[in-house]
Amino acid sequence: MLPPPSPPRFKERISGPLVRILRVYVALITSLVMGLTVVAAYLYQTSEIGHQRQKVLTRLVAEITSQAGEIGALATSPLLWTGLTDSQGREVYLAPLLERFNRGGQRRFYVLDYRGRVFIAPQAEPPAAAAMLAADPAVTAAVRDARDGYGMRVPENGAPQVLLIHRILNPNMEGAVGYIVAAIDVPSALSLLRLESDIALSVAVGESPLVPAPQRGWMIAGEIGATAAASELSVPVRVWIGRPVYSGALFVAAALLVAVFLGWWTIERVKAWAERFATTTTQRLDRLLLECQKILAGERLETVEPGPDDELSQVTSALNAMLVKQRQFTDDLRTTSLVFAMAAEGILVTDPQGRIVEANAALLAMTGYTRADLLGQHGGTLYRNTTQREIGRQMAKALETSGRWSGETTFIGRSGQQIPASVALSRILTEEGEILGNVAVITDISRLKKVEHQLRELANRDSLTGLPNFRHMSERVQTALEEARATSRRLAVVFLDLDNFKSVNDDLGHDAGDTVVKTLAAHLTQRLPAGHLLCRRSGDEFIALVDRSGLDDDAVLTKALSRLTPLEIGTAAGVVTVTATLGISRFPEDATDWHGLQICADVAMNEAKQERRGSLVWYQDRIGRRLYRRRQIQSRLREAIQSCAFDVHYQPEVDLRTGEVIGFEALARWHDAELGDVSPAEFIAAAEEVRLIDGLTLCIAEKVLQDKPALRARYPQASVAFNASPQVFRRSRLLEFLSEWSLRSPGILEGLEVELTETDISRSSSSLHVQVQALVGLGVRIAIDDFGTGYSSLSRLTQFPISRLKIDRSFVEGVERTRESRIVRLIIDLAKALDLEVTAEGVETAEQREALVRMGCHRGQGWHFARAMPLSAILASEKFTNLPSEAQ
Amino acid sequence: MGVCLGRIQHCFFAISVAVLAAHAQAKEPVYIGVDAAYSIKTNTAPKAIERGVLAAIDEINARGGVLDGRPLRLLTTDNQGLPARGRDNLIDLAAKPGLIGVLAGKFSPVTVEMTAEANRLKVPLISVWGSADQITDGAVNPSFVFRLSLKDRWGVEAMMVRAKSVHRATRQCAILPNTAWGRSADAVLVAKAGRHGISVVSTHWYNWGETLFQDALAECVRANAQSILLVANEREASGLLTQLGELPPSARLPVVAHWGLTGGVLHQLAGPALEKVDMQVIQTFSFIGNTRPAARRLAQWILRDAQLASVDQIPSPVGSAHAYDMTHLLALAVNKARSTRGDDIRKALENLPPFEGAVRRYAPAFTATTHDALTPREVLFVRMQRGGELIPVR
Repeated sequence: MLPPPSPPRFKERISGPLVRILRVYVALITSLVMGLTVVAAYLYQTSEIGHQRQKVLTRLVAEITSQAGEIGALATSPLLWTGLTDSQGREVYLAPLLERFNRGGQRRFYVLDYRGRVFIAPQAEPPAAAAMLAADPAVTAAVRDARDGYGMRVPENGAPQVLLIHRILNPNMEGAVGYIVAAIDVPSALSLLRLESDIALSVAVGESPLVPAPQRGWMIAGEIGATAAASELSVPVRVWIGRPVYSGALFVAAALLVAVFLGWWTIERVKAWAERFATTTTQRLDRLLLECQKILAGERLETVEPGPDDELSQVTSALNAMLVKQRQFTDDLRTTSLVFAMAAEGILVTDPQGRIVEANAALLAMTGYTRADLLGQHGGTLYRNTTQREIGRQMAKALETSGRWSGETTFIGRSGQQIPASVALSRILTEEGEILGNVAVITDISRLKKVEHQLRELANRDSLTGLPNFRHMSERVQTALEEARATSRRLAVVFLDLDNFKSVNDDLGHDAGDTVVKTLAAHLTQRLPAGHLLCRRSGDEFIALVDRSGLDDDAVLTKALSRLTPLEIGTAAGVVTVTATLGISRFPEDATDWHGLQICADVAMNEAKQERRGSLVWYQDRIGRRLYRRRQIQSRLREAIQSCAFDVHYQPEVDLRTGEVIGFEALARWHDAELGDVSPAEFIAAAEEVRLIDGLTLCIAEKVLQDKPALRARYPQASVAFNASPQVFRRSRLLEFLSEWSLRSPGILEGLEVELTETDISRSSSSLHVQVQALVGLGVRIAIDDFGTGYSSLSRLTQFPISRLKIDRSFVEGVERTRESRIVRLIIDLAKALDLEVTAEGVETAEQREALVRMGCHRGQGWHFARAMPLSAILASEKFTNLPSEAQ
Repeated sequence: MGVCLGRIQHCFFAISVAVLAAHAQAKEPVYIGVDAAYSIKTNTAPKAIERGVLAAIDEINARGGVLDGRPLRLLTTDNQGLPARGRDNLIDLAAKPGLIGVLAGKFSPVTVEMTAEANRLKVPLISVWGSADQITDGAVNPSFVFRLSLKDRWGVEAMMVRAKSVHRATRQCAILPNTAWGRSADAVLVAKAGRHGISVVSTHWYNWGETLFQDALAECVRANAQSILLVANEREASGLLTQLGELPPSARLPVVAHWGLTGGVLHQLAGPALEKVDMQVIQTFSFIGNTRPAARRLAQWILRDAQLASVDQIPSPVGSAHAYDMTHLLALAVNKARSTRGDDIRKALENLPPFEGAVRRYAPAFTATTHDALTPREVLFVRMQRGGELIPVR
């Protein structure tokens, strides 16, 4: 039930004080208006009189000036001169002349003779009247003194006149030949001004008294003077004007009455209006209040009718707008809540201090925590463990600088389990930039990591022996070498190659061969000095790292190693006695790096094989020659790269099912005049060592692009691939190189493929990623070479625009074996899952081809089809395939 | 010797009295008044008249004066060319005891204005230069106004005829002053031109002081006039002659002029224009070649008085000759009347005996009905030289 509306006090609040204030205000204003009316009336009258005075004076001065000018002109008229020298008959022309001048009633001209007697007067003028004018003191004085003059005159029963007397002078005669008198009728001259009847007016010229004498009494009056000057006459004029004070009284009284009435009327009107306004407004406010209360009570969410257009309506409209906005906000919030609740990814919201304020169901399910466990806890609860501190710092730093962080981390579940997760963390900012907290979108990548782990395990282990594979071995050796350098320990690298192992395979079968290898691996593991590292380098080759620090001399180790074989090994096919040939290199005496140690050991082993199979040889002087050759290679390599003295051979890639050539892999070959043939292993390793690999890559790329048109002409659908070292991406040289080619020869990059290794991908920088994207944009395809032997993150794979995986030859070689076949199948499935093509490298037998086809791999390359050949040989060859007869 | 009349102090005023005999000096003088426009600087007529009067007074007083030994004396008043002044001067002069008559000067309008007062005051008023017909044609009887001068009625007629006879001008152009003088001349032209086969093809009226006549001359040419009949005094005439002289010779119409211009220094005002324009001026008298004894006596007196070398240098000769003759006629009249009363003098003038004057032989000069002493027979024409000499033209 809604509470009743408040009593309408608003009405009293408005109308009461408003009316009181208005009463006082109107009373004051009315009084002020009355006072101002009186003052204004007085000032108006004074100003008006002054104005009238000025008008009269101006008019009179103008009239006198005008008349003085006219009589001045007349005084020099030859006609008048003639008249004054003429006798009988002069009236014929003088009378019209005078009458012309006397038109209008404002003034009359008279011509007097040299003695001031009337010579000619206006025709209508009685002679006596003219004579009286001639006898006026002002006229007689002027004639007596033979000068111009002026004066005031009031004719009998007439209005005041201003007299202007002007001599008539002739240049040929002395003295005045006559006089012209202008009698200006003052009332007529002022008639144009239409002076009001209650205005009293007096005029004077010169020093004469005002005519008529000014009235006295209650008058608003004043006198003003000026001088009229024209034609040598200068006439001072004075004007006095007065008006009775009571003239404006009626107006003032009427104004006061109107002011009082308007004051009373205003109060009454405002009072009535204020009451009406207050009542109406109170009612509208009541309605608005009622609506608000309903809204608050949730009874109503509809908009309210605004009513008339005013501020209150604006309030109502604003309320309506708020309602609409609130509704929209509520809808948005509901949607957001649903998204938050239903999202497959975990979502975690923290406050600016990092305390959890919200977590969605997906996150709770992922971590096993309850909402209660998390709310209020620091966000780090989910991932805190000693190894994650660095990630925590990275997150904090990235949030601080860019407001977001994304990456992978590991969360700790409620039961302590580790949960690998991909996290996208963002700051929550208001429009003003205020930090409200952070939101993290968390994806459980446990399954992905699991597959990754399996792959890594597969990648690190030799599938036959269970020993670390060579790559893994190399990594561990690198670590061991660093430790040895730090601790000055002495190590030995042992190369062990089974003698005549091929005959075992050939005679007893590959399974027996595998048994031999596995047994030997176990034997070596057991018999090599403690702390050794062991791996199978290839088929029947093993390589071991042994600590020889505790041995007095190398003879002890020699003795121990010499006892490793012969060894009798029982296989399903019978007992096999195997011997092995060993080559040993020493750290740090022979070499200080893994590669050098391998070479030395390899060289020593080869030396031993050459001496006697089953023997053991320590690397000695012969190693120096090997090293010399390497230096020779390095020194010649720079020049060779500069002159691009490399040949490119192409190994065809075929459709395993049809044998159709579908691509080529370009492989570098080098024949030096001094060194002879230099193997790719030698010069590529040397080029990487001396950081010339990018030049080598570009050299090969240049040749490939030159050869490509010929290849494509022969095999239009074939792709052409070349290997690119990661170094070539460090300064974007490959991208620049291929961009230039693309600009120079449009379409040249079509079908071109760049092969990178898994390791390149896994260690790539963002720059490599960008360049690879750009290369793909140019039409270049990207393939991963030797896939399976390196380490790569599947998530990285998905981030790169890869087109093809090339299965490493080591897996292909054993594809008929169960373990290898699993790996190959796994890679093929992965490629399919990622929608990638897959090519098998090192296909050397028909069995391998068949096995691959069965697994779904339809592309391959290897000696089974063709070796790498020069371009001319490729173009000259009719066929490379070596397919079963039924497929051919 | 000069006597100042107190009533006219503000005017130029001079009185000259010639004393010719001691006994005459002892008796009350008899006065002859001369009212003329002395103060107009270019006007030579007053002085010429005065010389004629004084020459006659010298002769009369030398013979013992009049009325048994009363000396004749001259009273002069300056009317400045203003009729009002002339009238006032006449009133002033009339009040002088012993005044027997007033000689009026060159300006006809002044004289016309004075006639009414002369008749009212019964003072003989004799025009010795004014030619307007109205001077002696007044309807008053008896009239106290006389004239010993040219009369427009026959003077202007003579000018018309002269132009026709000399210049074969049957189409004449009149240039007249807008005064009683001009109106008098115009009346003659209107009345008599047709009688002589002459057409006045254009009449231009000018006012006093006007000096620009280009429009009038252009109108004369436009009207195909063959000569100009000019009625003017020296100032207006000088303007007209100058502007006429500036026209191309073919457009310079010959001029036959009234004689007012010989009562002033036209030769000084017009200068070289005089030689460019063919102008003949009407006269009633010339000292040149004049063999009349009175004329010779007068010439001698003037040459002596004015320190002149020859008679052709005597300015305004008609003024002197008319005044000389009129002074003798007045002396005869006063002696005949034996009184200085105006009415007696008038009657005596109307009944004078014959008199051999400088201009002519008056036999008699006036009658009760004829107050004009000269006739068309005295008319002659002259040309004005650069020095102002008036050379008669046959």
